[in-house]
Amino acid sequence: MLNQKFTKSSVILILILLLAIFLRIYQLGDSPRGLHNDEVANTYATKFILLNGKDIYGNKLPLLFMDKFGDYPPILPMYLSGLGTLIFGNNEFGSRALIAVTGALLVIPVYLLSLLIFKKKETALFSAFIVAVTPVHMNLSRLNAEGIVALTVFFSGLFFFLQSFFKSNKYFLIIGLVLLLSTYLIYPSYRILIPLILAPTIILAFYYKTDKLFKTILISSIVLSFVLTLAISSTYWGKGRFEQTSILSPVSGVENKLQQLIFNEKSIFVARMFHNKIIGYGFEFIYQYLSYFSPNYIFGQEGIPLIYMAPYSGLLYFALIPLFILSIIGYFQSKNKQINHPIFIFVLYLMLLAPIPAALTILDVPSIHRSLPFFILLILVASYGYNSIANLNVKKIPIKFLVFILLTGELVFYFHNYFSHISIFTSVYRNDGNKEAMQYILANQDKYDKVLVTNKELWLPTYYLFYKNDYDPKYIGKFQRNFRLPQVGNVSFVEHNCPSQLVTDNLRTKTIDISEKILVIDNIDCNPKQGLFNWITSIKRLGETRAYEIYALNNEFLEERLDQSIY
Amino acid sequence: MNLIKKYPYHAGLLLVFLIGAFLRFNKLGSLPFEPHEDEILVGYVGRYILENGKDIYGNPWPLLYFNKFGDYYIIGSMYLSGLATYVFGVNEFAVRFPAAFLGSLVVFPIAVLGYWLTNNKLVGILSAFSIAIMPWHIILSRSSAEGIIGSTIFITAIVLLLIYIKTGRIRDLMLAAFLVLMSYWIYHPFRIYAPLIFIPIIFLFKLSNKQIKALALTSVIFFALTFYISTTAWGAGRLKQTSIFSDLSGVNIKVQQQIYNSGNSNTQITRLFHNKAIGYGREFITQYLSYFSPLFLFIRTGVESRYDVPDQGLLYLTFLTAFIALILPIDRKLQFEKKYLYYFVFLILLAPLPAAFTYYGSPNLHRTVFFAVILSIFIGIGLFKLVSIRPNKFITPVLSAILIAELIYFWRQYSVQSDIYLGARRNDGQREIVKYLIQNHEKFDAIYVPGYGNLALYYLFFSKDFDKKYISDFYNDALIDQIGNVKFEKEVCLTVLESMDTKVNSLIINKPKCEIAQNFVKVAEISGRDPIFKSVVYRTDKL
Repeated sequence: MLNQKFTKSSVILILILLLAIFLRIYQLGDSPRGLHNDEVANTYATKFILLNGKDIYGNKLPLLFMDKFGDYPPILPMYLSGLGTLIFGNNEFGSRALIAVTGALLVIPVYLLSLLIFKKKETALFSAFIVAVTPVHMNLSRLNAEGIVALTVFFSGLFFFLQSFFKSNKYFLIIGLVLLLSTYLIYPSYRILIPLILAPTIILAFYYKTDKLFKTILISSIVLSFVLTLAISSTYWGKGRFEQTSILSPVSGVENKLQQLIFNEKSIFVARMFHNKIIGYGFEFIYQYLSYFSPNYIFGQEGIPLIYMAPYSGLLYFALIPLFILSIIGYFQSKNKQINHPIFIFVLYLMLLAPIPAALTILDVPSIHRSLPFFILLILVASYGYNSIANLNVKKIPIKFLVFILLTGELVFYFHNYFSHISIFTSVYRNDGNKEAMQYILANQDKYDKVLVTNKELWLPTYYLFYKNDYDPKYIGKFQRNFRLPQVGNVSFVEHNCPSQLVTDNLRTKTIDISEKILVIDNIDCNPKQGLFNWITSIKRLGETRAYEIYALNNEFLEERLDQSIY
Repeated sequence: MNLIKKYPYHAGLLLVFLIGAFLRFNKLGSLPFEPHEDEILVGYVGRYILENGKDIYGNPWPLLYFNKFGDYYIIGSMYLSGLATYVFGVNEFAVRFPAAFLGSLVVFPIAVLGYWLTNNKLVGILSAFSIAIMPWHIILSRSSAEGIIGSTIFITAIVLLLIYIKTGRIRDLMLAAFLVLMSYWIYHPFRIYAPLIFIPIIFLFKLSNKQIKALALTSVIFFALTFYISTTAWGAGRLKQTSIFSDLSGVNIKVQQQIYNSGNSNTQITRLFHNKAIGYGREFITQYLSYFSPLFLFIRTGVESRYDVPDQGLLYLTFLTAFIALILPIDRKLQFEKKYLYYFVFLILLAPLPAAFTYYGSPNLHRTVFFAVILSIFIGIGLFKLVSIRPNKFITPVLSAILIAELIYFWRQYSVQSDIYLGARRNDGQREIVKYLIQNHEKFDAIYVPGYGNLALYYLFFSKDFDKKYISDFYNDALIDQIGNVKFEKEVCLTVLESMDTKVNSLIINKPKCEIAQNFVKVAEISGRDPIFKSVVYRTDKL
């Protein structure tokens, strides 16, 4: 009987895992269509390293970070994008596949963690199922988000770590700690989270009466986590992105607001008391923090950036709302007497912690990516509500059916919206048109002496090289910040929004010969002089908005009017 | 002292009432500094009707509405403000008095309900205390917000309704129904609440057949009344302007966009996923959930409005800890009256419902003021749970200190920063202009002022002029073009008008941000609280 039950739940878990993988790799190359800036940069940079042993700046096999624009994101998860293109080909699917599959694997640690808390396989399967189909995790898994990799590692580590408290299992403790600390090298938020997560577990160690060695390892790790966080935060690569995005940066506007409030006060003492930096930044932090608890952030469309939003759908399903409500009602709480309360309270604590790193930032907020663990912890809280009604019937009808009916409707609605609308819905935010523009150049560049490309989108050189499948080591050291490369063959990536204007200027100063065949990829608002250029085509995004205009220099016109002022 | 010891509950409640009243009446005439144009409208029209028996458009004794611009302002609060001007004079204090007074009184029904819900008098006092010091309720109480008047009347009706459940006396139900009916006369959202508040009572409480019939009949009557009102032009006016079903919400465009994006592949599927029911349904849910956002409750004061206080939420952050305590399984000793608890959970869920149907000006703190009233009961319970944790040498003093600090901070922000912060939204400088005009209008042949922001009504209000002769002069949006030698123009920079060059012995006022006039003599600069909003007074060069 036990074996049968075990088999049944294992089969269901495997089916959930397969569903998670399917939902993350189905049409992965086409939905969303084309690669976003970050995706193309991450993929190109890491494939470049894997092929050449050095990064584009000449650093040997970097393991800590990649410098795109002074942001220094951890490079380890990006290797999956590069590796994927080596396995599956140099295309969108290859770029996304391994991170998508790593994301799908999250259902396993979530299942195990949920089982540890609720001691009920049905509830654990429910948690795993929700993770498998939840919009926020699916959206990010399909878009090369590094946080997805970190999330799977984090929850795997969390499971081993929490499991280790039972019977003082040092092996699990060490595996858990190694996994948790390794997230430092996968996504920056965890450098703030991990010490705060580990510190109070001393209480758990005493509560579960763990042995002396266990406590020693734990305390050492807690100290190590704080030291590591401090050490990394003092390096230029450790604080790069934080300095760009934090609430302490001038971008937050806190300083300006304080000055305005001080101006309105008559007494200096009163002004200092009420309008000082502690209150100003403190209020900004609370504001940011609470924004992550807004129902319209969790269930609606308030999340940022929009590339991570599925059209007309929230980040979690509305069907979970009743479960959250149930979990705060005493009657339903009393149905959960059998669960592992200390671990569940710890999960609640983690849920309150999870938005803190994101709340310290001001740019692109409320940030879905930076607050990713928060959603999985919310799913565990919803599972608490589910656990309380798992065996509850009204007139022999299980109440949980209501949740599943709601969930089914939302799933169908979400999947339809995702697979039918995601590409068009996010086309403007996802650098749609870059691929098409570069493919046009690749198909036609041989017909021209020069091809000049606008800098409207900074990452176009990387798109060009990626779609050319060109990872030649000769480019090492030639890349500039933002992955800018001035020239590849006859293609110049000029520092001008309107290369046509640049050509016109150069014709005027006669630094370009009028017989040269020149192709320009202009931004849409350039409007080059009529006659001087022949319009060839517009590169359009899905949804018919124009991304680029392509022109060729009209050499015949120039030769005919050689003696006239035509510029 | 002995009386306090003998009646601690009553003494505590009285103290809470006094605190609430102090926070609502202290400097009421000058804080907010500038009377908003709606306040002037309420005070002027109310007094005008009482003086002349007709409103400014000539309608005799209007009992239902005053139509300013198709919004059909409910008339009740106008009468109340008008009456107050007889007692306190024609001034800001009088106009604001009814809301401040009724707002102060709300502590009593709240204390009763908090007590009934938990059988604990301290919970009642803490609930009353939380509404007494709540920024949300204080800001609105001091701004002539009719929702404040309505919510005190409505919550009292609920007390009477619950008394009826206990006593079965039809007199109590009649009185409750009368107060509910009164709320129809004050503010729109209560017309939606009214029929719905009776239904759960029938299912939750053990009632006699007679009671069930009486409650069902009352509910049906209010359903019919609400339905009837919603079919009238005056009942649907404001909803049409603000609702999620109006073009303003953009839902229709969004649905069309989705249909377009679906292409021509399968019309059935497109209809299934992208229809009005889903579009408006999602918009309603978005609006509804926005009222439960911590940002709405603790950080911002809703959408930009004349009630904003910089860096101040509608509730104190201390109240957030009360909510957390409320849901945590601490202090199991508190015995809830379960039926009351479920009823109040229902009221919590009901309270943002009318506001969630509106798009314009959302999330809106005024349309959801009844939500604040109900929330205060739960805050009281949460505070009680916090202060009753044992051992408790630490929590109560720290909590009290933080709450006092938050109250001081709120008051500072409200009393010093808010008026400047809201200059553009609170008609800053209007009163100062009309007072200048009242003092100087006899010295000139003609005065030309921008009529923007209903300046004419300010002029009439502060000159205490309620003459019947204006009835024929007022037109849509309560506008009037001329009062004596003062002409109210449509433009805001009058000195740039060519017609002004020919004027003799005239005074001309430019609103802020106009260019400096060259052909005129600058006489004065007038501003309210914010020096940026400075109007400049010129006289013509020719005398």
